[in-house]
Amino acid sequence: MTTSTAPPALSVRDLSVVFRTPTRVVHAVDGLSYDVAAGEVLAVVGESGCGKSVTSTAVMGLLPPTASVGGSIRLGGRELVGADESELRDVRGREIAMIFQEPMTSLNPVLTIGRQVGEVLRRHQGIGRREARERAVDLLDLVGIPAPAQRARDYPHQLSGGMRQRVMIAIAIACDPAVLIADEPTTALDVTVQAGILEVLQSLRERLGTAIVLITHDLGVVADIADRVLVMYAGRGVEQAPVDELFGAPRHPYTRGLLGAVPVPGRRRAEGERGRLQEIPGLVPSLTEQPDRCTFEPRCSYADERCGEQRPALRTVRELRVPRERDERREGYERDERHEAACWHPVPVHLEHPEHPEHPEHPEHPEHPEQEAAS
Amino acid sequence: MTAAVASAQASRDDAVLDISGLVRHFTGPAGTVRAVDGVSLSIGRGEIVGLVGESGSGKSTVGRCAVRLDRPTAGQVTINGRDVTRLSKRALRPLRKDFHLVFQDPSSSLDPRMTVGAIVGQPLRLHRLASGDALRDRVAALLAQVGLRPELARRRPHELSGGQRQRVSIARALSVDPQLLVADEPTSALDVSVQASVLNLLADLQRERRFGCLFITHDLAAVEYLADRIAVMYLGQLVEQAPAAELFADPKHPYTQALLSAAPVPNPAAQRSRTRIVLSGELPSPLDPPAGCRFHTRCPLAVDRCRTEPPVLRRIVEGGGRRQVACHLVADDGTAPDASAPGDAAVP
Repeated sequence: MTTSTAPPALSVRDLSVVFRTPTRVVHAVDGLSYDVAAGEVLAVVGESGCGKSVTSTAVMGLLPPTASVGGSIRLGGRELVGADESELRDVRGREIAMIFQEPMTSLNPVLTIGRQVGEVLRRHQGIGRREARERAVDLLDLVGIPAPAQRARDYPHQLSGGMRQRVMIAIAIACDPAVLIADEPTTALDVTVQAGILEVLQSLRERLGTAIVLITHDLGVVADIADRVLVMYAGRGVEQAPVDELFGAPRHPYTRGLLGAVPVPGRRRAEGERGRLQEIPGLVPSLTEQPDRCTFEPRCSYADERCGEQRPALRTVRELRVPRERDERREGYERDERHEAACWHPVPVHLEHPEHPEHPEHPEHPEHPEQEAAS
Repeated sequence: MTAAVASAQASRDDAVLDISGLVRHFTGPAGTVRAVDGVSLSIGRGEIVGLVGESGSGKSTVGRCAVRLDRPTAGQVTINGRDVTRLSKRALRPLRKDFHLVFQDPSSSLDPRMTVGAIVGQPLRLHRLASGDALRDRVAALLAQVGLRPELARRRPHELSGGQRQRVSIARALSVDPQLLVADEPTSALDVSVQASVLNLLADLQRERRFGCLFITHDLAAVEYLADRIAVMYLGQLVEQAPAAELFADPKHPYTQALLSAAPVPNPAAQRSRTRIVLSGELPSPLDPPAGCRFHTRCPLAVDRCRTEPPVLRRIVEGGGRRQVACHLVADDGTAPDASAPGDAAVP
């Protein structure tokens, strides 16, 4: 959680989402909290079914009526939980916008892309057709679409996947929203195309100060663009830390499991032969109950009796100062950050992953992290 | 001359799969899609070869031709020394126990009406290798080998998780002890922790059974982990081929350099210090691939020669002759230009 003075652009507190059907109840999100500041990229990571996408859909107010949402979602001082549909419609697109994994299904196939970008402007800013058209071309240019004036006359099927995703970003940022939620924006794209999209997102944050919530399962993308990372497991936030801290000194056993499961380029070369990738035994629990224990306990090698009986809260395991090196406007400044983990037995830092032996950002690792965590 | 050397090497006697000059064109109303245009590749016994490339590069078509699910337009496919290029379906049938394919999406490649046990045992039954109790025992042993509990044999695919389903397809593919396994994006639809267990499983099984494996993927981290050798495809052709570690340490072809630089690594400090080569333009249409080097329209280093003369895949001295590259700008000794610094490129 950011403790800097500026109020967060988006603040989620104790969010819960429950789906009720006649036959069962699913606790998709259970007591989740996070903040995102202007110009910051928060990555939300986790595996399928952990509640990443449901959280963002809740923030956008786009959940179906079968869902009941509890807790608080504050966007620039405005409460969104319980807001009526007309208020939400006003906020969506103007103050908060979202891009999805598959741009083809989000674009209207029978309208030109220039028209679709312009539509958002006409709806929210009440400008005329011609002006909307000109602004649309500017936006297409901003997201790196070559020959934007000609491309504005194209239909979605005439564009490649990467170009369509750029159009989606152009639509999303048309009204200069304070918060952009990007749900697996590069998952369907090739790596060379992904590189271009990540660069567009990076420049939005730098040039427009957009707060970005990036939902992804790709830890490489997280390492590339995120300032802070929230790890979700079974509907709950289990760890949250600045990006270098999270990769360098993960404290939650699940986070460590995830990081160990990814093949790291160069590791095999360094070790001479193929080592084993770390596996997380067992399966993700079903979300039909809301157990009063650690949800990772059945799969955790560190678990003891307490883990099976008491639910661990997300609590600070370390306070640290992080340079704002990714934010050019405030170079040289530092901000206070916290490393939080929801675990009764956070993994000691000296068991660090061998592939991240050095930790240049914060050399002052505490000698006895357990003592610090007890505070 | 270089093509001759390549095919001479490719038809080594110990190759379980030998593809030479493979061409696969698809002709439709819009013209001819040149999906694969002259690919030569061979896989030795017990060797895992990674075939990487982006969507539309033709890598899956190579895989489908390799196991004769598709009929090559030209070229030759040899499995275990036997030319299967022109064999009819009927003639292929008895040979099919030697090569198998594992698909990306296990939910669409497993029959939803069959039980897991029937799916895994089907190849054994079709090839009349086992029946009755012997079949049941073999299936149980196979399930155990891929880490599935025996009672899952009575379940149907929809009752399993994605990772379990992929284990079922691997068990089915390996049931007849093939000498060649073609795995087309076997882990792409899976979560990272599940992906890890499937990669571990493939590595373990391959170590035990020593089958040759063509591992087709766009996931560079997975391919570096699993493959002994890697071939890189762009627009229907191979642009580079090298032992995995050497390819990652020192990519020669500008496309390989761009591809490797674009894949983010899960290490923030390392990721910040990397230079990303962002390719300009888009993948050209395989209906009308560019003349000369197919990569020249997007290559930051392209010179006039690249626009007219197609480079051949040739052996370079570096790497003890185990490396091949198709680029005019890479010298015979292996000296290659740096695609991230186009200004400094020396023009040969």
